[in-house]
Amino acid sequence: MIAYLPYLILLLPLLAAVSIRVFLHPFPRISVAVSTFACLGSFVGSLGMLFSGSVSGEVVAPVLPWIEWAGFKANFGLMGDPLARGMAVLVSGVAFLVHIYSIGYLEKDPSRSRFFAELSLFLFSMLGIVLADNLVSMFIFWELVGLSSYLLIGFWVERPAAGAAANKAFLVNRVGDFGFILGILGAWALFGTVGFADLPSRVAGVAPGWAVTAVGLGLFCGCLGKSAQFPLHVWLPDSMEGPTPVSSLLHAATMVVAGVYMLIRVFPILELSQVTMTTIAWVGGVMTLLPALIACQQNDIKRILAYSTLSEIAYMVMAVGLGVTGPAMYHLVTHAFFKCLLFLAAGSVIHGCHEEQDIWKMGGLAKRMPFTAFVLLLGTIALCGIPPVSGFWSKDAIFAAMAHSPGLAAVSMAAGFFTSFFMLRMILVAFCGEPKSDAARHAHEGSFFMIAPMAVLALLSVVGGLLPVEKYLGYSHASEHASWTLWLSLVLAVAGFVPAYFFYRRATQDPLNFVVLRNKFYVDEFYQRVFVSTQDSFGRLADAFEGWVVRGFLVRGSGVMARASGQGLRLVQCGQVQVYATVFILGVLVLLGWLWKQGALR
Amino acid sequence: MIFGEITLGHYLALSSLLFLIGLAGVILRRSLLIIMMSLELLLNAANLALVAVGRFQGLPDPQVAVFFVITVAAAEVALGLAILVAIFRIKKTTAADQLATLRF
Repeated sequence: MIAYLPYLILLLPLLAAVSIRVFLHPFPRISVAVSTFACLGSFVGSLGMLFSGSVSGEVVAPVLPWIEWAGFKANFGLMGDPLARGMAVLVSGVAFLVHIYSIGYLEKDPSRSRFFAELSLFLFSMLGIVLADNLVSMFIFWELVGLSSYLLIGFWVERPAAGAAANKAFLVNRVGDFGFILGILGAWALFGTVGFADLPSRVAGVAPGWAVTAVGLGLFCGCLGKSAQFPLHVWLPDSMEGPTPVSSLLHAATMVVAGVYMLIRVFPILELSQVTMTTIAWVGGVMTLLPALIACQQNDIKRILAYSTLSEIAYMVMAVGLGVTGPAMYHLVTHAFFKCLLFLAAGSVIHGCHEEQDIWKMGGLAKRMPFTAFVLLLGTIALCGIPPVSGFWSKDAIFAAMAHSPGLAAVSMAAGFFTSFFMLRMILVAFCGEPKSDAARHAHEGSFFMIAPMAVLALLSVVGGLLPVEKYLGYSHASEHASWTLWLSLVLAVAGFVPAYFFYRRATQDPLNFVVLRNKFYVDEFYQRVFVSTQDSFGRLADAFEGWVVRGFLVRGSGVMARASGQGLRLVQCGQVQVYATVFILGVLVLLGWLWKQGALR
Repeated sequence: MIFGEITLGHYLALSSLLFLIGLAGVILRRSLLIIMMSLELLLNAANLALVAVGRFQGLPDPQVAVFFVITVAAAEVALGLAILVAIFRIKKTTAADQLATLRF
């Protein structure tokens, strides 16, 4: 029985999504309940899987043969190794909390049936990525996650900005997925397998070379798209157009870290090439700093958190690049707790302030929303890595691995400094001082459904670092503590609070103005200029060609030709029989003359 | 005999003359009745040429063919006159230039 548990965990949310979509759509209350209980079922199942058997043992699920063609073999199987089990618990657990939160957040939304169906679809896809035992089925779930992300970002269909953001997310992810699928094909060509379980043994016999590097970089492309790393990071901040629970679950806690999870799955391939590892480490390293800088000048509370998400995921990517997957996974787990908490708190603020997202129109919320303010503060402390809460332990594990790469240590510690800076800026502006708008003056806490998940997540954010996360994920806690990196990172993280306090203690408008940061380093504008405009020009050129040459000249031209020749020739038809006879006789004469000239008549 | 012995050339010359008269009639006359008569003239010009050539060459085939032509011509005239009568009943005219409805 235990062998079928992974299938149960995976299929429950799908069942919920389908039944809501097909039968329960007109009954929001039942839909919400079905979706939430399906999620709870998955969570309980995941817990059961986590604690079944020995901690390091595997739950082996039956495998269905799927594609077998010309030596290519991909089964549809699910995996129950410690990594998958731990991740499944995390994903379904956080998803369950977000389900509960959404009950409160969307209590007045008429289309919440659709929302919960899409949320269940997302959970199904995400659990598919987590449990998939080979790259091909992972890719399919990967795309399904992309689809559900698209649907959820564009949930508020009446807002044009939401539709545009959903499109952007989908299109940008396509770019990364293109590299991903090339990487999968390359992995099969090189190693003869797409299954994760076979990878370590197959990889051993392959010599390092450019091909291995290319495969590793291709797979990394998939991570760039889904985990929103440079240069494909532009979709994540825009995806904040979606409802806040979506931002919390998909675009902070679970979906965006799927890229990191995938990197850890294919780690044996990445490890073969030093070039790949260095690239991953440095992309991650740079990406810790850039979004942290951008966030210092953003005014939308959700965008600030979105940029900090980019920065935190970059820590995980960097850890993978440095070869320490354990700390990457560790940070993934703690980040899921505290980032989900931060987003839910931000959602609570937005809900309380009647959809106001600009922090400069808030202010004084600590008095009106004390609980939200408190959990947001806890989340901030965890995010900034201040001991003894969870973020400190996981960030410390990553910093410890950087003892021998001072360049990466420098950028990521600078990122820590700015993270503290913009988080305190956000709190001071939004929660302290005087209310800056009517909405903020009448802010209120949300219902029980919104408060309870935040309380649970706040608890997890605080004690999450003490959970034996790495043990359950199958890693030994081998990182060396108390190196110089720990102290320096801690000092810088605390130091970041000082200028923020100095600048924003009583600010009613932003005393700093860095245009470059405000405009996010002009990356969007650059893409607009280079890619979008180029593509538009090509599009216009193709349209002109189609309009003038194909449609104008060839299609309409031949029509016009036929018409014109018909118009000309019909003048011959005069209706006079004798004229026809004359022409006929003249024709015969001409023919006879021609035959005469040819000598045929002689 | 003013023209001496009557040769094949004489017959063919007469045939050509008849043919040209027939052609002129077909092209120039307006009345459909006259045009049909001119058509008969054309046929008979051809018949004359066939018979003459057959007679002078001593071949029976052209002379046999003429009987067929005469038969077909009789049928043609019967059909043509019937159509002519029908046209006259509807259009009250047999002038070819008045009957120009089949045009653009």
